[in-house]
Amino acid sequence: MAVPAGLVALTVLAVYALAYVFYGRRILEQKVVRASAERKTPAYTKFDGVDYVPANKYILYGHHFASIAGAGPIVGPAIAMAYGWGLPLLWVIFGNVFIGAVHDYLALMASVRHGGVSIMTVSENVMGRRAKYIFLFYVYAALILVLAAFMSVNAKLFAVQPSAASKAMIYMPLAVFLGFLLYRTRLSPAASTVIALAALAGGIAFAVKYPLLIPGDAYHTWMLLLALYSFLASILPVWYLLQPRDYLNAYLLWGFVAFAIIGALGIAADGLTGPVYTSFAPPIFNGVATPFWPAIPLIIACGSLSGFHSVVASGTTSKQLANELDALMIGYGGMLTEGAVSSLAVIIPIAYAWSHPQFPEFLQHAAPSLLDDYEKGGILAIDKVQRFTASYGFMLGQAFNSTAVGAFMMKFAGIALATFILTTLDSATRLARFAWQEMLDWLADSSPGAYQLLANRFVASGVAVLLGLVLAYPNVTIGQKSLPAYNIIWPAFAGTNQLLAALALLTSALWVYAVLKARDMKTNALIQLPAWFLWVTVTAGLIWWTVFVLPTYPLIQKIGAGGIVIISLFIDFLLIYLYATGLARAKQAQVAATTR
Amino acid sequence: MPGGASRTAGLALTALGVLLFLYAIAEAVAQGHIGSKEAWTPGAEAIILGWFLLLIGPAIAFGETPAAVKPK
Repeated sequence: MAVPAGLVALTVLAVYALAYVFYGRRILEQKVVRASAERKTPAYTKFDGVDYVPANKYILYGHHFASIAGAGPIVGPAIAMAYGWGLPLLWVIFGNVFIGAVHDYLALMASVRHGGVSIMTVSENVMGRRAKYIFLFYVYAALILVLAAFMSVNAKLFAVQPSAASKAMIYMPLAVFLGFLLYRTRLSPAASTVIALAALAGGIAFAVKYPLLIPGDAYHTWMLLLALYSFLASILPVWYLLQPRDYLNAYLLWGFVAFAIIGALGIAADGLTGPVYTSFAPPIFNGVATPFWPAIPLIIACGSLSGFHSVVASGTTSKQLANELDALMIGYGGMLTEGAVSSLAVIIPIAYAWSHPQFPEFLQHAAPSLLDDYEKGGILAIDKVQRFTASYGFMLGQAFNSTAVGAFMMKFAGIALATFILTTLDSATRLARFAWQEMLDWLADSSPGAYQLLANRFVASGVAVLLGLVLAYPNVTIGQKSLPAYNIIWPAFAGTNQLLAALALLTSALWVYAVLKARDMKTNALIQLPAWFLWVTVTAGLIWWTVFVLPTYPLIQKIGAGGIVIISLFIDFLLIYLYATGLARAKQAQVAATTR
Repeated sequence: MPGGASRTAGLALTALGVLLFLYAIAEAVAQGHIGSKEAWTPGAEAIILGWFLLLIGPAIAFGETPAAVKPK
C-alpha cells in the first residue's frame, strides 16, 4: 500500500518543529552557546556601514537562506531519488537536524563571538595559526570554483531563457528602490514592502512577456556582464543592495516553501506512487554503482549539510547579526528551511508524480518536450531540474485540481530557482573578498600600506572575479565536448565542499569544548559524534570516489579533479592532526586548571 | 552626505539610468521583446547600461549610511 503524502509531510514538519525547540533552542542556544541579547554583536562593535551592519532578523534570514540555497537543495535530492524516496528523505532529515543545522548555527555563533571573522580564522584559536591559513587557502580556492560555476550557470540560464535575464534587470534596481523607500523616505516598512512587492509582481509579468535577447555568443557576453555585476554587488554596502534584495527574496522563498506545504497537504490522502526503496547502489556517478554510504553526502549537499554554509554563516551573516537570539532562527532555522525545500518541494513531489496516472497528461499540457523522455525511461530519465519543476507544478495542480495552476507553479518553481542562483553568485564574490582579506591579515601589522593596497575591497573583489572568469570564460575539450574550463576540476567540488563541512563542524565542536567549555558528556556527544560521523563518511566517500568514479572521467579531468581530491585528502589529514593536538591542549589546560 | 559634486553626478547617473530603462521598456512594448538575436539594438544596450547605472548611481548620490541603518 502506498504511503499517504500527507503523512510524510506532517512527519517531516513535526520532526523539524521538535528539533528546533528541543535540540536547537534548549540545547544549542541555551545550554551550549548560552546566547544572550545583552552581548553586543560585531554588527555593532565593528560597524563600518559596508559589511558590518545590523539587520532585521527576517531580512537576515532571507539573505542567509538565499545565499546558502543555490541549486543544491533541489538538484541533489532530485538525483538521489534513484535510491527510491525513503533513503534520501532519511538522509535529509537526519543530516539537517543533527549535522547541517548544528554546523550552520555553531559556525555563525563562533564567528559572532570572534568579531565576525570566518570559521577558518576561528580555527586559529583552537587549532593554531597554521590551521587557519591552510583552511583559508582551501576555502578561497573552493569559493573561486563556486564563483566560476555560478557565473557559468547564470550566463547559460540568461542565454537560453532570456526572460530570466529580463527579470534580473528589473529585480536588482527594484531592490535598490526598496532600500531607498525604507531608509530615505518617511514611508512605513509595510507600505514600502507593499509598493516593492507590487512592482516586483509587475516586473515578473513584464519579464515573462518581454525577454531580453542578445546577439551572437550570448553566453560569453552574459558572463562578462555578470562578472562586472558580481564585482559591483560585492563592494556595495550591504544595506544598499544585499539587504533589501534579500528581504524581497524572503517573500519569494516563503511563498515557495508555503506552496510546497499547501501542495503536500492538498494531496494528503493520496499515496506516493514512487518506490520507497529501489537499490542500495544504483548507477548514479557516470553509471558506476553508487553505494548510499559513503557516497550520499557527495550527492545531497545543501538539502542536508554543506560546507559552503559555514562560510556564509561566518562571512556575511555573522557581520549583520543584530542580536545573538536571532541566530537560532537564521542559522538553525535557515538550514531546516533548506531541508524543507528538499523534502517537501523536491522529494515528496517527485515521489508523488513518479508513476501517477495523470502525470503524462500534465506533461503533455505543461511541458510537452519532457514527455518523450518520461515515456522512454520514467521520471528519472527527465533532466534533474525539470524533474523537480514538473513534479512541483504537478503536485500543486493536483492539490488545486487545475492543470493551469500546475503549469503556472511549474514556471514559478523555475523563477525561484533562478533567483537563488543569482544571489549565490554575488554572495560568493563577497565571501571570497573576506577570505582574501583574512589570508593577508599577517601583512596588516608588518606592512599596513601593502595590506591596504592588496586587501582593500576593490582589489580583493576584483582578484576574485578575475580568477573566476579565468576558470569560467574559456572553453576546453573534455571527452569530445566543449565545456567551460572550470569543468576540469568541477567533479571534485562535491567532495571538497563536504570535506569543508566536516572540518568546519569539527572546528566548531572544538570551539564548544575548548572555548565555551561545554564539557558534559551528553552535550559533547551530541556535537562530537555527528562531527566524527560526517568526517569518516566524507573521507571514505572521497576515497571511494577516487578509486571507482575518477577512472571513468576523461584524462584531463582525471588529472584536474583527481589532483584536487588528492590535495584535499592531504589537507584533510593535516587538519585532523592539528585538531587532535588542539583537543589535547584543551584537555591539558583543563587538567592544569583542576589541579591548581 | 557626499559632497555636492558626487551627489550631482550620482543623481545624473540615476536619472540617465531611469531614462534608458524607460526607452528599453518602450522598445519592448513596441517589438514584443527587448533586443534581438541578430544584432545589438538600442533597447538591449539601453537596459544593460541602465541596469549598471541604477546600481551605482544612487550609491554615489546617497553614499553615506542612512541614519536608520546606523546603530543607535
